[in-house]
Amino acid sequence: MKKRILVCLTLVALAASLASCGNSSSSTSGSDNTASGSTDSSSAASGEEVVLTLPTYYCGENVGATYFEPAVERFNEKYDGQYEIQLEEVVEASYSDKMSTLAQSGKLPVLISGTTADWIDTVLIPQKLYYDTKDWLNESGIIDLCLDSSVDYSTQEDGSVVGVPIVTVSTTGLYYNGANYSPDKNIADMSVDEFIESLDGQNIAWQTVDNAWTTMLFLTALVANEEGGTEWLQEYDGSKCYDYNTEWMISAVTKLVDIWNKTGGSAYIGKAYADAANDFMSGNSAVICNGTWMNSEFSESGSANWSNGFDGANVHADYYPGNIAMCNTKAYGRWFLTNNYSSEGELEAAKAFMEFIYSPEELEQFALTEGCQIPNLESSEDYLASLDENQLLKEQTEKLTDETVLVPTIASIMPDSVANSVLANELTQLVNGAITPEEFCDTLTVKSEETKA
Amino acid sequence: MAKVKQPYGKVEKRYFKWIYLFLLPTVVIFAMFYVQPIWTMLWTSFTKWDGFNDPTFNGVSNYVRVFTNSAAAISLKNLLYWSIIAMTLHVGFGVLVAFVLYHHPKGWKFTRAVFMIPNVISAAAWALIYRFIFDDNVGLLNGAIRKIFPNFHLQWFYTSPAAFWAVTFTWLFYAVIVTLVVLQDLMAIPTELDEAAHLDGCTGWQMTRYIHLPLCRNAVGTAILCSITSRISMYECIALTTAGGPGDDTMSLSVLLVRAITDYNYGYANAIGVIMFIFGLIILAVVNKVFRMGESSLS
Repeated sequence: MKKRILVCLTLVALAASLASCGNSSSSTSGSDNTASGSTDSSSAASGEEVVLTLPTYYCGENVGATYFEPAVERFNEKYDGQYEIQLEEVVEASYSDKMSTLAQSGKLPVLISGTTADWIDTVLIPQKLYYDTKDWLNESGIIDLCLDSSVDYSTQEDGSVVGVPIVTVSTTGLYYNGANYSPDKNIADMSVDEFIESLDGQNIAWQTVDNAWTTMLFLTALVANEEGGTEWLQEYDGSKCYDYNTEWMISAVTKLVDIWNKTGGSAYIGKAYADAANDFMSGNSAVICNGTWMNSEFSESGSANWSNGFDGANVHADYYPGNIAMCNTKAYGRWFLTNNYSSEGELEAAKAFMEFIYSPEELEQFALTEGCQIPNLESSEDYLASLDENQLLKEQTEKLTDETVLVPTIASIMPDSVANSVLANELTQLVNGAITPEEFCDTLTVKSEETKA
Repeated sequence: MAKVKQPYGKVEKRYFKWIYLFLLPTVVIFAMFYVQPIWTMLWTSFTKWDGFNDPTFNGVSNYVRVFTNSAAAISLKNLLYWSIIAMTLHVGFGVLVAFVLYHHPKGWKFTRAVFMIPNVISAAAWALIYRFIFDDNVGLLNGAIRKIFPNFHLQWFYTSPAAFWAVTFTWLFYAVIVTLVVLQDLMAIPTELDEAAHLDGCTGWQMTRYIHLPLCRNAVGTAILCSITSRISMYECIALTTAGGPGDDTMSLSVLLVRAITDYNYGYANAIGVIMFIFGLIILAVVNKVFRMGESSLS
């Protein structure tokens, strides 16, 4: 009898442990849950300082820390005794996973920044975990700074708005080393053929490993230069494309192979992003396709990575032939407020931080540090003076005109797994001559279709 | 004569509660960290699931997708080839080293320690080291080959079919587990057996072939089991070198599984997981049967 009782007790304990570890499907919305590391409501009510703990990867060695950590210090100083932001370092690669875990346990922080768009679409919106920012954006005036396309994208069917839509844009272009290559006119004003001819055999820093980032950017520019290509890319901005068997895509890929062979491509098989960057910063290649975040690599602070007489002062920024620049404008913004706040004080602290971050002074500081533009903000005198000291950012800002055609990168319209690995794997086959451009496009189509659940 | 089961005595029964009590933590941990995830993997493999929202039942469509996917077909073919290479060359090399070490040649302890070193370096680090070894421009291998063939150029990880062999080389000779398992069995062989064989005029090779090797049957079976199951779950050395490419040449089920997770296709990913799990069970059953695992080698 005792044996049976013990067996029963064992099973009950087992069932209890399983139940406690099981996936709770209960809603985490509302203000009943306590956000990660936040204060309780009594502290806010009693006028005590509200402390927000912010899990983020914009700290430590991460490139985003350059702006963000000092910005948090400035905020804490400004609101000393009222609000305080404390940073909790999270690894960038696992940030979305960490947020999923916090969401499942009802501990999602009130402020989020850095998750993937897929995470927003899969977790934040379906589970109604976001705070509707529509009224607050209007009251604070931040809405005037946001891009209309991003506001539309962030607005849900019920009229609510997810997060703070895009305010700053990082347009992706290219850099060239003036010591190796001196174009007669802006590259953006050239055609693709003119550009390749002007290179006169100089290398482009290609990449075929990981996500083939630099090569993918040039392929995007080639697609955008094809008839119908720009419209096609813009059509899928903010969504996914599953068909690459198009005339413009095949033509662009065919040109890519040709340009690859003319610009030293065979030496770049198996090269990762760091290899491409090193190649450019050692003077082996004259051109590298990359975003504005690379500006800091060419300032004196990045000189430790230079070799073979490379001098960052010789580097110039431009956009792609055909005046093409890359930027996703139909997308969510950088910051999201969740409805998982434990008190009104905590929500107010989060809003205060957002209003601080999106203040003109901070936006200009952010733009100068990260190398981006603020389309809907009139630049201050100080900002323009600072631009004069930053040659690359000045070139990027000045060359971005009303005529510049903005398109999303081709990777951003691909399903994630295709953009992250399939593209690079097939690109290797393409430049090795193992597959034709038609087969390349067909494989991308098949692999994209396969990602559909 | 049939073995008669003796009923438990009163004293023995008195200890049952303690036996169950001490078993309880293990059972609970096993249930939490093995049974529950496996069960979740199994039932969600029949659903469409993004990993967060509620799964919706979609029958066997995830399995149909796996078996109609060209990359999965290549993964299965690669798994077959890698399994054959693992149980022959990989295990063979490990057994060979074990037999050499068993005879205690000069410097055997040093050799054993050196042979252990790769095992304490992570697979990820090894994968990166191999990227340099197989690099066309600065790699050791091509540098050595170019001493004989000056015009030789090959990007091992990025050219078919070299990529398959380059990935294979990242694990082929790291057979320290095989060596240790077999060496353990060899050292447990009673010295009387060797002495008796010597007296009967047994030569060194005959001793190895007819006495030592058969007595290591269980260890070799275990080594083959570990090697093949490692091939089923092999991820880092592919993801960090070729990422399954060029094309799908070095694709594996684990890489496909991670790709599915990247696309928030957890149901599909779990179907791949179930297939990997079943392969593991099949391998376990086959090796158990072929090597008569559990039976004493001396019987």
